[in-house]
Amino acid sequence: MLPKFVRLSIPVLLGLTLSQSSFLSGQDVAGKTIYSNQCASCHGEKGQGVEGKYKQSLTGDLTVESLAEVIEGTMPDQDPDLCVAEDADAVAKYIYEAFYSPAAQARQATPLELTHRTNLQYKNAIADLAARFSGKIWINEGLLDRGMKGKYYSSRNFDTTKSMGERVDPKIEFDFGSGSPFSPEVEMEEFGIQWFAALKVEETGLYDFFVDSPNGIRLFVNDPRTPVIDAWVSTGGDEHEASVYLLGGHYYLVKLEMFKYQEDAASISFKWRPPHGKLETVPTEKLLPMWAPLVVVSDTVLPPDDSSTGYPRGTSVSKAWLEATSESAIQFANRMLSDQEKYFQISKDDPEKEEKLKKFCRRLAKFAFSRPLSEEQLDLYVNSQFESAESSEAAARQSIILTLSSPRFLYPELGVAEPDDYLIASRLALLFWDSIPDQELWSAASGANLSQTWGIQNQLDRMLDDPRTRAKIRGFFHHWLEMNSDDLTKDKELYPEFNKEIAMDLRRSLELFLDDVVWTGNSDYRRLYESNEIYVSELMADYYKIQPPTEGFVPEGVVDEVFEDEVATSVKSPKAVDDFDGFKKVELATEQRAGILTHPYLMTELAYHRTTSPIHRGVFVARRLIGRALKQPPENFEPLKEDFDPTMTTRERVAHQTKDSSCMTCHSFINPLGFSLEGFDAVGNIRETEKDKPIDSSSLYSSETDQEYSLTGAKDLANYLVDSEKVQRNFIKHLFQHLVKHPPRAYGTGTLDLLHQSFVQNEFSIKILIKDIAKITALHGTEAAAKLEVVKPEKPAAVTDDTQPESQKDVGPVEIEAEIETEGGNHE
Amino acid sequence: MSSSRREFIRQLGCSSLALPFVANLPSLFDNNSSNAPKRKRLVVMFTPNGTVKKNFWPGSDGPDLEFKEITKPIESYRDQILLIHGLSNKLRGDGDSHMRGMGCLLTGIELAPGNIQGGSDTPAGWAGGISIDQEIKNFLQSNPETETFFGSLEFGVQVPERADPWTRLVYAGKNKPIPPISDPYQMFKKMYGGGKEQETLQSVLDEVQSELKLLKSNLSAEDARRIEEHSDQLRQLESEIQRSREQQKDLSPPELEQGVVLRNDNMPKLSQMQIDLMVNGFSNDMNRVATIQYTNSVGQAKMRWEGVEQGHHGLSHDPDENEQSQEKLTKINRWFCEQLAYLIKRLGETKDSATGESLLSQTTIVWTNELGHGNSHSLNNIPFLLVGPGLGYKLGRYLKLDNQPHNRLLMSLAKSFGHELKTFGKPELCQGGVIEQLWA
Repeated sequence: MLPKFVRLSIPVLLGLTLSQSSFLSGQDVAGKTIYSNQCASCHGEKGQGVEGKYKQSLTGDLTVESLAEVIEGTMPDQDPDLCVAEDADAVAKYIYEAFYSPAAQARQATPLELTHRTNLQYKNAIADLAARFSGKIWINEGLLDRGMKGKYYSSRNFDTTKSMGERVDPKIEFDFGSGSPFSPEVEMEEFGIQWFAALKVEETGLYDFFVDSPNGIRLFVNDPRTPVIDAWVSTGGDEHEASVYLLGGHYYLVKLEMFKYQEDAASISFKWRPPHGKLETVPTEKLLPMWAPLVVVSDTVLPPDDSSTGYPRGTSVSKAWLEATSESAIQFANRMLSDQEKYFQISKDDPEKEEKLKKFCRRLAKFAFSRPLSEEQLDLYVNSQFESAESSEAAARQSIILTLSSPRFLYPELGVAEPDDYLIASRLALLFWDSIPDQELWSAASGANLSQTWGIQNQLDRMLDDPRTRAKIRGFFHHWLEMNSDDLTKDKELYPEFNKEIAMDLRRSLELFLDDVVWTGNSDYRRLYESNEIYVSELMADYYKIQPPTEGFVPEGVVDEVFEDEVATSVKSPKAVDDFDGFKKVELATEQRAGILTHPYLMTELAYHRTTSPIHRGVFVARRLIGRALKQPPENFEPLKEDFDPTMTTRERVAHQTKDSSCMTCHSFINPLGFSLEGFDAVGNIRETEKDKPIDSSSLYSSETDQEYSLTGAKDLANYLVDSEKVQRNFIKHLFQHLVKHPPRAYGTGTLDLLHQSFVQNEFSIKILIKDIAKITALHGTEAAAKLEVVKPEKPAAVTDDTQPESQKDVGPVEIEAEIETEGGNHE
Repeated sequence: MSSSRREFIRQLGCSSLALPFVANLPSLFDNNSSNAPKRKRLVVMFTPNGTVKKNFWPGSDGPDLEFKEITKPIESYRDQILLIHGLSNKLRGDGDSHMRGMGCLLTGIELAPGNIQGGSDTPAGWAGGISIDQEIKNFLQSNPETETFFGSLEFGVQVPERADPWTRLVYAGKNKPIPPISDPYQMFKKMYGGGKEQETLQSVLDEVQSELKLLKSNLSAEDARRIEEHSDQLRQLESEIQRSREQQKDLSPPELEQGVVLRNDNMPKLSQMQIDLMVNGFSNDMNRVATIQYTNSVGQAKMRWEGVEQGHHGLSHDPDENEQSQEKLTKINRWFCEQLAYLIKRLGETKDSATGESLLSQTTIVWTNELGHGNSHSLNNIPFLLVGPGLGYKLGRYLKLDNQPHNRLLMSLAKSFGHELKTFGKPELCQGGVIEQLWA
């Protein structure tokens, strides 16, 4: 299972030397001796740390020179004079090369660990396993209008002989008064309406649905048999609510029925609140006027995945997890057996019942294990169950539960003797969809197409263009950019008009921008930092004084001439480019905004109630965007209060509090990063002064290679970030980990180099990067990996030097990042 | 799936798989101290669409009982029976007679205005108040000496998956109908947790273990450790399941036939399963109050096993002169009475596991109907047939009253539990208070 070819092939391909053997010079030997004598008792022979002395491992991204300074000044702890001058230099050089530096860490072999499905991978697999048996409805978004299909009847029982017609309603928000749904002036005592649509769900989580109507209503979500709201009898009040857990990347049936009978009036509205979203009328864009098949969503609560390495992985095996997966397996079996016609095609008194149940079980095991079963496995998982159980149904139940409890299902890489096309298929399905292979992948695998360059390429293109992939990529950004906050509240006195609705819109605005970057045009990563476009809702446009585009926000049928005048006279009139979900894409004339870096969502989240927080912002940029290692602060600090010195600006206070040399080890680069964003207040508005002093957003940033950059503000920082190779590699690493659930170096020490090289040559296309990651990891350990060609520019390799970042020229061997992120470390 | 037990278990923060059964919870089952008040239990059994008067009511004015064709199946329990004639559902207002018959039967209060149109009259909504069984349950649950784990259980037999005033008998309060559970397996799970499922799971765990062992052999030391961990944790889970199952055995849940599909033709089996569950719950003192609702008002059970092909409600509209229909309706009601007979028999032969008393001695069953007569939709003279000495009424007789509001009976049921109500439901219909003749 472990690499056979990749370890060899990648360095050869890249022509890199990652020699591990002979770096010890004379000075290093001295360094090693000093380290052993003076340092190892607290830090461990390999810098791994010593329990009770100094626990943390000696790893980081200081340069040798900086490291030597720290040693000379502070080490050994009991007497810093013991190790100075050349001795300190020698120790610094030794530990840097041996284990401290990212490159040294990357040299440590990291095996590809055996992991089980993450929670999401488990739940998606369950949903898609069921879908293999219930038939699929193809949804072609391009061909459909948006909205809910409405069938209208002059009968409360939806009597088809009393049809009044059909139409697609963009949203359900009606006040029919006492009249007919079609012509309000015509009095109508009785009518019934059935609406249905396939609801596009992008994010996994709890969705709240709200129906407000004084009439009889029923709402079905996902399951057309059991309503989630049953208020057919209308005396229970007008407002109805239900919460449903849904998996992202799927379409769900929503069916809403209402009727009026003898009541004075009829009205209805259909709203929702998606996870992290606001309460709003279910948006037209999410509704396709067609039926959607049932998605089998397991509602078992699984214990959270182990995220100790910075992203969720299937590395923790607990009783609670086994219990939850067992319960979910039982639930799945019950579900299948309760609808035998649908899942087994068994009719009443079917003489072939047993055979059909058996067939189901055979196919289920095959799909669950992502490969055909051997004869022995068939005997174990299916045949023997049917021999031992009291009835064929009991046998099927046993077989289903056994299959879903099997390590072959739970650990997708387990039980694979030789990596083959089925394994490639399984890996691709996990990588793109966090799920199991679909029929097309199966066909490709059974035809051994996936180990062919053209064969896998077809699949990569197809799989990338799937709503589940989009859901997964959106999840990546949520995680990478730490978009978890649901509650961005600000001081009412300072920001009286900033409210929850605006905060929700900010999040959505950032999501739309990220979608735009990845999925449109050239999928150019650089737009993340370079773009001066922003998606704005009406609320945001008002609040941030972003001149609204020339069309769009005026409610239908209302002509607002003043509005147009304003736009016409505006100097900074922006261009309206696109409209989505009530948001407009606006290209700002201002040069101040820079992609995600200054997006008001992040600026607002990375700030206090009343003031900005250069430290939060600096830490975020350093850790999440640049990928610098930050140590825990030596002790916990309370941030200085605003009234510490009322004349001080935020910047001055932060500088004052962190001026000690022990702080400056990290704050020397955290602060400049944060200060460069001081031009944005605690809600992300552009500002020019604080406490009547002009904002100072200039700073001197010292990179991990001790290169100094003079930054005048956000735009400058963005320019640095977009050019920085380290930042690019950090992005690749995060994306890799999110997609694969393993660190890049588990696929060979040169993996990140290879990906980065391709990224540069392909004009920083995120889509191509995703496919590159998929290719490298899916083919890992297979014969096909030997002829792996990741670097395959669209255009002939016209590599110009200006795409090569400065840093590459100065640093000898290419650095390879440490994979373990230091989480926590928050002072405040 | 969202039974209250499951929610309860969720609140405890664990899944139901290996949770020791509720017997593990202290105090809920251990109230058999000698000075505890005598245990009393109430069962309301509902069957729809009126009765066939001539084949149900005795020809005499009482007090002697006379068992007609419909009540023949319970004749041997003569001494345990109090049959009451002359109680009427006098609630008026919105809704047709079926709806009011159903919704006001245990609530004694009008239906709220609404949008559901019946066969006649004005549209209506849910009942405007709590039903008497829930009133009594709340009373018992408020006292630690009479508190039980569930308080009440609501059984159904072929109640349609539809919530409207015809399908809901029990109310937690105004506009708060409580749906009965018609699926015996769901009820079993609510009462006993996933015992059957645990068994199935246990039966495959050995095979999972052997797979783990097999697959471990080719792994690196690190990966093999993870699989070993998996194997160890699984063993622990298995032993917890084993312990949990042993505890359940002490409660000896009934053996239910597996795979009985919820459909019309399985009604006899489903009825028996539900009764077995009800009796079992009583014997473990999980609850003191139970209702069992057969189909629904206007229910269309087709009793093919009795040779009746037509739907029940359809037949009930035929005139009294239609002898064939009368005969079929008699068969239908007699079948319902057989279910009552089975319930009496089971209660009689089953002991309260704590006190050792026969359950029947603690129980009074009220068999009733939403109509007095099917084709006329009369709400007068609704059948109320009481069985069992639990509530202390004088049995073995036929009590004829003079067109009294049935609210008075509802109040009397509460009084038997020590719950003295000034009124219940619509106050105007409570004049005269409890029916003293029940005890006399």
